[in-house]
Amino acid sequence: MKHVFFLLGFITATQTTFAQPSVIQKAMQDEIDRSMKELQLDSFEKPCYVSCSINDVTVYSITSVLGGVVNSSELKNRVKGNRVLVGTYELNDESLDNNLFSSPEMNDIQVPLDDDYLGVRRALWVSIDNVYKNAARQHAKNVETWKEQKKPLEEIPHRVFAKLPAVKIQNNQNFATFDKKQWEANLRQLTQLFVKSNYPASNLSLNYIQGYDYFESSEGTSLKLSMQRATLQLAIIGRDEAGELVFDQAVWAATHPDELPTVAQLKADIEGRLKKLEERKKTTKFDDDYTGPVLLEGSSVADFMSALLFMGRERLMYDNNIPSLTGFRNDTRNSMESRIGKNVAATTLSVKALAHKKEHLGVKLLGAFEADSEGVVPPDELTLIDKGMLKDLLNDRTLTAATQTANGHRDGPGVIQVSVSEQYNPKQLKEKLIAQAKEAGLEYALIIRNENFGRIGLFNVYKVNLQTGAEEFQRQARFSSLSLRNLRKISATTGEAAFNQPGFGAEGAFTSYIVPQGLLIGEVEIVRAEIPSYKEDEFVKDPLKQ
Amino acid sequence: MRKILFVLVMAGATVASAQDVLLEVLKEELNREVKEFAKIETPPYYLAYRVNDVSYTQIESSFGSLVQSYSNRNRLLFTTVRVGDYTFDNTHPSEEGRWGGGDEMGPGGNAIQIAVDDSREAIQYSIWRVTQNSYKQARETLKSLKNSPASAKNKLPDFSKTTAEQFVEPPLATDWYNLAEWQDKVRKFSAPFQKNADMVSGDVSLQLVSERKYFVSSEGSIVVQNQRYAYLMINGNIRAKDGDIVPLHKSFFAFTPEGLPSDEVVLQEVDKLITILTKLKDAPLAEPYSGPAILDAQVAGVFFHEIFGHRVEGERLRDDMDSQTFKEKINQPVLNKNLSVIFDPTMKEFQGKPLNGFYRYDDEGVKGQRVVVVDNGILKTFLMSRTPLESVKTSNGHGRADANSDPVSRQSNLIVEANKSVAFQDLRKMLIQEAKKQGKKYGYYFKDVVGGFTTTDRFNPNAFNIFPTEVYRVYTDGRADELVRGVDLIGTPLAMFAEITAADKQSAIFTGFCGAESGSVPVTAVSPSLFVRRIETQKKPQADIESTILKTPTTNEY
Repeated sequence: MKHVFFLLGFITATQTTFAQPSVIQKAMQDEIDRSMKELQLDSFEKPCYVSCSINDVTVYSITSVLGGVVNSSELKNRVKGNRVLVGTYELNDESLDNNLFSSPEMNDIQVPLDDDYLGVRRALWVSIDNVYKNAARQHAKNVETWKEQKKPLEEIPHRVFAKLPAVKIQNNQNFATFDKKQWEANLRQLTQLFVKSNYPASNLSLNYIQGYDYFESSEGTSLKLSMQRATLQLAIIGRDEAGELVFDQAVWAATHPDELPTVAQLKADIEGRLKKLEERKKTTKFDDDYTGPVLLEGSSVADFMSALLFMGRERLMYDNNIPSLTGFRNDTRNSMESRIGKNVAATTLSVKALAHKKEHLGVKLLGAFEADSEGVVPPDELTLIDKGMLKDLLNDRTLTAATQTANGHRDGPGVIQVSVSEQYNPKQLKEKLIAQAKEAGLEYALIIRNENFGRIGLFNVYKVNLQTGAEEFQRQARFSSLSLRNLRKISATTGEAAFNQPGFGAEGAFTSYIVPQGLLIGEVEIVRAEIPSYKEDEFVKDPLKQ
Repeated sequence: MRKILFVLVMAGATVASAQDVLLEVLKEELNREVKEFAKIETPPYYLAYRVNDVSYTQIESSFGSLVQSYSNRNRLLFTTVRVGDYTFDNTHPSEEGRWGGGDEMGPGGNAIQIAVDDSREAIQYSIWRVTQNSYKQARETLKSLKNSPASAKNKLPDFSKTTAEQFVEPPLATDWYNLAEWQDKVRKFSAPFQKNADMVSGDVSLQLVSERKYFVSSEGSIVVQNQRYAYLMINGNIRAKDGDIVPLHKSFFAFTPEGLPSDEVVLQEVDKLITILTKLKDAPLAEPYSGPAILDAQVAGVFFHEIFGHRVEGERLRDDMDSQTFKEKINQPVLNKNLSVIFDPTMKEFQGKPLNGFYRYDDEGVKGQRVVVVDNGILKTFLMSRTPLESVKTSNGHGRADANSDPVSRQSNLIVEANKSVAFQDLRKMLIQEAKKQGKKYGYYFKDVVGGFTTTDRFNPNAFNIFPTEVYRVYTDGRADELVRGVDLIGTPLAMFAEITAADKQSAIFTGFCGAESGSVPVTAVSPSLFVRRIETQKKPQADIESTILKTPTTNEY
């Protein structure tokens, strides 16, 4: 905790500017001040904490098929959020009840699109009022429930709101212009590639979001964080002669669309993918239940670690669940919490969250962030696993145990570095794969190379001949199950790579991974992926093939 | 089926290219499909493509602040494939279909989005792909239906023949409104709501919709028509002293933004609405009531739309799950002999005011026709799509749908006409007289309305519910009319028709969007005010919310 405070102070000192608050910030601050001073329902307690957020963004979306734009939209939106705590940081309305949300009332007022001071205040006023009333009553209920327990507060499971110093960050950015017309033309040009292909149902979408996240709190925290994210998503979809689905997908990410690969580069990439898909149609499907060593290469390493560390049952994140004091007791807390201080993986593995790291090996790390959506600044470096031992979990500001600290990860991992101390060159790692497979009495070993399986869970594999080392491409496999147990025996290549992956946090947010270029996992279960086939009858000839 | 009529709904709109590439591609692909299908066994006997090319802008303000402003454009393609023949095709009713099972479905599937730019290959491929899938589904369905005993029992033909129509309107100019100017106006119109601290919401929205609708069929129909409108809605909610939230609405409809009332008039209406809402805040809650009432013209329009209009929509009468209120009543009296009911989509205006239910051709490419459904109280016919009935075999241009649905017979511009009418003051006298006769202290005057709904199936009470917003008690002892709140007008159709006694000389228009089987379609109801001998009311559901603790921020006090 002390360490965190130090880092917060550092960040604050270096990043604060002393510009006048914008109209939006002034309105947020004023309504928070008024609420703190004047808001009181009957004999209930006044709020002890009020915060507001406004996401002020413009979202551009373009979707194109076969050289035509199906949809092109631009939406300016301002979305508000607020939190009101009644009681103390130790025992408040959120401390005991598992329902932490107040539904919007029918008197809700939207945030103006203009910088309209009173309009912004009106929108916040009705929300704060609604949330406060629920909070005030819930707090009174919580106090009664606690008294019924006849125990000191420390002895009953409850949520504490972490005390943290105020933070001030002002990012004022001149956003580069987004040339919507040009990008419509780009997408048309790129999807024209599908016209003469066997994949006319394919599509390409660009999403670009830019704007600011505002956050103000009664503690004096004041954030204006710029947000810029561009994602180009490709889905190549077709069927082989037997009617089986053949597909490929790719995601390109950048802060601004102009930083995405050039049209020429994208064109070459798509053409390459189309060619590869045609070749893959002729390949065999993976048709086995395999349990043994697997060598992951390239982006597959990041995908695998993402699935294992942050998406599964054993994710390295605290949840805010507490066992109920009354009624049905269901301890649904993340089991990882009780494994802190224990070995959960090979002693060669370390995992760190590097929230502020913006670049690695020339790759922009798009998951980097300055503060989370609770206004908490994460430390530069947070060790999650050190030499196989679980040290900490990502956390928000709600603490459910005395051992927890708020570490600024309300919105997810941000930037994750996975390092493995047992390192080999790529050739040696492949030899090790083969040796492990032989040792396990297997007929072959598997390599997963540059496959993105995070979202759909399907991937292609290379079957490795244990005698010759020759590789045979096979399609459509999936993991049977994944758990941290898979990380008990691992080794890696010497080189590192960085990847940006969609997922977590606000719309279009990314998580960045710094991972070894190759990762050998001692034991993984891989099975065939069943995809229903559908034979499309052709009663009338395809117009594109005429 | 539950049908809903509301004053507040959304819609869609248009744009077009000079040479209309979309029309060319639709025609080309239709011709190619017809030719190619002719080569296979069991080809479709009817193919049709509908495209709704819609440009939509929505501007919204709340208490003087702009809270939403966005524009969107999309093209939705709806494909109709019929396999079999006009007497028995893949849409034939089946026992399984009645219960929502089996293979039975409409002739079309769901609409798909197609390219908004004129990229021929993208559009053509989309049409081809959806046609393939629709044909496959239609052919499978027909096979099931042919082997269903219940289908064989039903001898009604499935599709009527009609004249192939050719009508292509030139595209409209795309630059038809000034966005910034209307953003300012919309801001300005909701600003007066700030003056009243009890207002829970004070919103104004403007929809600017421009739609170009394409229809081509294998029968040779080519219809391209434009629809464009501006719809301004004012919505206020006030918290009554008991916490009940009381709404009031006002809307303006025009074919162009310039056709909307001047700023001065709109602001006067906003003030009027605030004044009534302020009175409603202190108005008493009404108790359930049965007795005489006057339905003001707009209320009467909604009343007729719900209790009568939905029961003369022909297609539903084929379904023996429907209550079929009027199925066997052709040439029989169904209303007061003083009343006639006409549906006329060809009317663009009524007394100089625009009608939302106007169209030249329906969504099956059939010319819209003026249809006298009730002539001096006698039922003459039904509103018809191309799905025939025993009693009415052909379409009268009322096959309507939103962009996503199969057309069915729906209402257009409903016009209630009275042979003999009286002045409004005479309706009041009748009301007071009848109230006295029934031993009531007061009768009801329903002055304004937001919408209503009715059910026409056999599994639910065949009732209607109208949602009035401004209701007065008219006392028999001469004291001033009393504004009340919390009243819904309810009843059953046949009992209610018998109670319509007199009509006003003046008529007014209710503009709305009607939701039923084929989605939301624009409609109007034009009616005189009516005196009804006996109506029934029930309490409206209350929507209580607590008062805010702090007052609305009005100054820079912090």
